[in-house]
Amino acid sequence: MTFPMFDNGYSRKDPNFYNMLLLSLVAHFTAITIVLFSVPSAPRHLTFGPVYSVSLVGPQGIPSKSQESSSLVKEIEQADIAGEAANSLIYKKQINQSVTVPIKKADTDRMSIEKAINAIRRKELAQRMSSTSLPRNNSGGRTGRMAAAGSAAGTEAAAGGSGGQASDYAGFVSSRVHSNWSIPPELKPKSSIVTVVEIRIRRDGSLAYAAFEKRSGNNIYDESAMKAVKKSAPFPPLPAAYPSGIMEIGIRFHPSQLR
Amino acid sequence: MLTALLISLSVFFGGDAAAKVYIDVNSPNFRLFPIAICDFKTADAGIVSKSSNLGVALADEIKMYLKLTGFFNPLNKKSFLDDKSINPVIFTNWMMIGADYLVKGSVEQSEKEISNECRLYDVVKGELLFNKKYTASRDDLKTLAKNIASDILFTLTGEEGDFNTQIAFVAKKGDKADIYTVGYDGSDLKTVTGHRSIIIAPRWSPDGQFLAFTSLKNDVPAIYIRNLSSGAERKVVSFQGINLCGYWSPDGQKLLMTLSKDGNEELYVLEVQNMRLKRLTSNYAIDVSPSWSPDGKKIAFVSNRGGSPQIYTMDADGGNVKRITFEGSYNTTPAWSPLGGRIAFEGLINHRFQVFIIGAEGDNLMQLTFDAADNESPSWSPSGRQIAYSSRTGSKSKICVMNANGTNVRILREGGGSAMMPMWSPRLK
Repeated sequence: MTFPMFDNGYSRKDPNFYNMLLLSLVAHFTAITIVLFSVPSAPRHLTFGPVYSVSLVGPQGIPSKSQESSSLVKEIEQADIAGEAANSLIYKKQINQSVTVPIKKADTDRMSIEKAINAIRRKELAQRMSSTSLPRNNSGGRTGRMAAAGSAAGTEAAAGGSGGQASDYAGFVSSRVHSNWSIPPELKPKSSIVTVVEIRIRRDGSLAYAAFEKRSGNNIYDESAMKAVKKSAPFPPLPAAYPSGIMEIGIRFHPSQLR
Repeated sequence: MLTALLISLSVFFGGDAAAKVYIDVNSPNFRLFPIAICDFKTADAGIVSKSSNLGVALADEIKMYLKLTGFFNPLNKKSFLDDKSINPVIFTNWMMIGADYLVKGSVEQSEKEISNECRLYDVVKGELLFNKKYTASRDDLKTLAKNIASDILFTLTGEEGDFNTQIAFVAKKGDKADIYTVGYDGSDLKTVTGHRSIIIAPRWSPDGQFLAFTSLKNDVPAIYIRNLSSGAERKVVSFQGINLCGYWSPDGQKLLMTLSKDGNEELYVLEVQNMRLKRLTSNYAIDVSPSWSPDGKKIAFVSNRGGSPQIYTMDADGGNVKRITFEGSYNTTPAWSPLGGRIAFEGLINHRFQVFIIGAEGDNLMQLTFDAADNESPSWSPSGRQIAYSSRTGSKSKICVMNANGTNVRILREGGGSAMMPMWSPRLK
């Protein structure tokens, strides 16, 4: 590119606009750099000065060095203030180190969660029993919720002074019978039938009586239920607070989870 | 108001009457019946001789047959507590090792026969369930064991089992094939036909007397019916084109078949006595592989009228056609379970054929085989508890048997050429 030449004494490369701009930029850049880097390099700290701990002490806490004690102390010793102010002198002591406080780890492992759930369940059961007195035959809702928790039994009990313990015991019987209940996979009934076995447990836990209260019509299924009951005996002794010498339990066997 | 008062009263006083508690138990655990079978006592107990081995051999045979039923888990005799008692049996010894049932007995061998006295106990109830005597000819230990196992199965499940059944299959050597039969336990292999040609689809008649099959003997495709006792063969159908043999009707009077004489492959039913032929399907698609339901009311078959080979059902007169498989691109060779309700078939999945089961309405599709082979031609046992099928890898194929839920696969017969197209017989007399 050629520029028109104004041959009026100036050098060929006359100081045009662009040159001046460039020079200005360089000068500014240098100045800013100097300013930024001349700041002291010590890290910025928010400091509040040395740390002190204070405790309110009575006049007894003051070291009594008669000679070197300050005028303030003398004043307080002589003072006869009949209020709490005499007992509330601030005593200053410097702390040199900070105490580390360990963070308490949240106990989230499974066992304790399950224990907590069981505790809540038991409490709820106890509450429920103390407020109703009639045994209900329809266990759909509660069993559904319990089934969701993976357990195989839901329980109901009549009210009574020993209601809580009786239902705990019945729950134990239920899970024991379930663990002993098995059937070859091909023989499991597809429809939803029910077999009910009535048992009577003596105070010492031995089985006094076991018979079919209701048969389902499927012989193999009925026999498997009775086998489960017989394998589960003898049971542990009845809870001490249980009023009667014999506990009667009706066990309903369902092929699948109740919904 | 009064109710509330009553309720609150019974809260206070109800505690004395210990009322009945109801509990619910759901979902039994799946477990085969654990059964303990003791070696049978022999007359000269204590002396290790041929007869004491007999007691052990008989017990082992019974264990094998019970295991084949798919219901039992025979316990290992090494776990048995030392129990020489006969009367009374100490049931706690058996409960402790986890046995639900116990078999004990004695066996004797004479010149001509073996006789056995066998007792079955229910360990949990502490009861004797049966005490029976059996005899069989001297060399026929298997029959004796089968009879005992059959009674044990019937007493405990009410089912007859598959004890007296055979499986017919096509054995191919090169390009020559013939039909063979073998006992369902793998013993007693017999040759049936002498065609030495291409043979397809042997089908038992419901009374076990006849076998129908397709053969290309003398290069003429035809359907034959063979009388198994006399060996006489009758050519029943030989039309132009394809003649493929299907299943017999449950009353043994009719035979289903696929013929292409009228243009393309259609289903026909032949009345075996008077040779009357009736056409069941008529459409442009290919319809093959028909199988009758056990109540004789419906027929399952394969058609590609929907675009790909799929399983359909229809009434026995050809009406009310309904498609039941909707998954997979190739589903064929349906076989209706003798218990009704379920149909086994082979379906193409991941470039291989596998055995599937589906409900007769098209529900509950379940894959039964998963291995790296082509598993084809499923056939049900008469009890509906076992399925035979052929398993092909490369150019060799063998007959396998499994429980109807896919477990307990065993090879029925191996060796020689290829074995395929198994067909389970009915219960034979």
